[in-house]
Amino acid sequence: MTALYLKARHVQAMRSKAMPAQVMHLKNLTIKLAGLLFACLLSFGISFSAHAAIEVYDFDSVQQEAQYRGLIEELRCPKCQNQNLAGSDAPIAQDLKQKTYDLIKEGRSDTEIRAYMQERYGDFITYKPPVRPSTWILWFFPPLLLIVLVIGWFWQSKRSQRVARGQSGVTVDSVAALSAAEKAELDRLLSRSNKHSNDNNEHDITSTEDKK
Amino acid sequence: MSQSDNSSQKTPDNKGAANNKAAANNKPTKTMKKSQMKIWFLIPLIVFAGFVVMLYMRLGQPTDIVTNTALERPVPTFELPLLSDTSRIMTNDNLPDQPFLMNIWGSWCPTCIIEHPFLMQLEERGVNLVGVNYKDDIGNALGYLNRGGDPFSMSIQDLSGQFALDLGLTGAPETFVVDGEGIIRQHIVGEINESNWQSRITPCLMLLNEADKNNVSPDATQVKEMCK
Repeated sequence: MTALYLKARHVQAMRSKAMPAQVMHLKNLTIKLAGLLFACLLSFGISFSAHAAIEVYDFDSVQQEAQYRGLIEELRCPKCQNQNLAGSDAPIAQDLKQKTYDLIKEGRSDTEIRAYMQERYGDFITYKPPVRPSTWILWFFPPLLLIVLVIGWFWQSKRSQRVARGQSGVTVDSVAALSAAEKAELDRLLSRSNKHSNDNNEHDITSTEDKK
Repeated sequence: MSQSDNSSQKTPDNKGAANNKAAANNKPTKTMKKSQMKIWFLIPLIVFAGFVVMLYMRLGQPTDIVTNTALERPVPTFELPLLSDTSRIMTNDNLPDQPFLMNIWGSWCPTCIIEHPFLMQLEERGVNLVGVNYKDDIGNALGYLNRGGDPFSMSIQDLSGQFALDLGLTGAPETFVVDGEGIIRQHIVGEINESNWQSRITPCLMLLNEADKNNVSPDATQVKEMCK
């Protein structure tokens, strides 16, 4: 993503050399406007789809209305399977909304209403599945993965810090582990090749000395 | 001249030896890093391959989730008017004593219209069908049965949709296979036709009929197998 962005910036920079500054400015503005328009459309689209139906329910209190809104957002339409009740106009969704309303008017709690729906439509009816052994993986795997990744990341960054400071001794030690004899050998070889590369261009007698 | 040629041939050798030695000194750390790098490059590849396999396995499989909460339970209690005579109130006691099919239908439902001729055929074959007229205008419902024929031994009127809700209905048409003891054993979402009649409903109904003949409840494991 970043690479793509950088590339785009690069292309833009290349173009701006060829284009007058004013044209460039106008172009930037249009792009920005188009982006803004797109964002607006997107957000409107989302809000439209989330409340497909216009409801005419009367509630006794604001709490009841809030309870109703919460529940129809949380409950799923069993027919149109990727919509909640709030977003669906399917006949069964209308019935379930009506039922939710009736139950709220009767003064039932959220838990009771969820139980009522679950008895008839199973766990599938809610976007908030109950926590029990069969759903543990659903609830606990993502946070567990996050924890593992964060720990792993910390560990990795700590290690690379230690390497950078030369404390872990992975890279530093292996270089320092040359014995005195090896060091002398290395020096000899280095000086030799240095000498040779110096001499190589000249082709004089010193290079023949090497042979001996 | 020949001497200098020799030397120029030999010195690169020396240089190479020096390089080799330097490489040998670096080797342990470098190879370790390389294999580690390899693993880090391989992990996303393996994850991706696993993902591809997982998605491939699901290709062409049905994606609809069918909720079957009504199964292995008695038909929910109801007190609903008879469609043909709404002054008469039907209850669970009025349901047949032998295995039967309970079909939820409405004159407004396009798939029900498609399904209807097949229901007529089933009636001719002697299958006991009970209709639940679901959220329908009574005039339209009766007109529908007059025009297309009435395959049902009786139809009850569920105007509010409450009975359908208790059944865990998702839409019309749906069909429930009920055994002689009034327990729902099979749930067909959508139309029934020759194909699923042969493959799904007939085996289940035969099992239920046999159990009913012997006056016993059908075997649970067999129901699981035959009434999918």
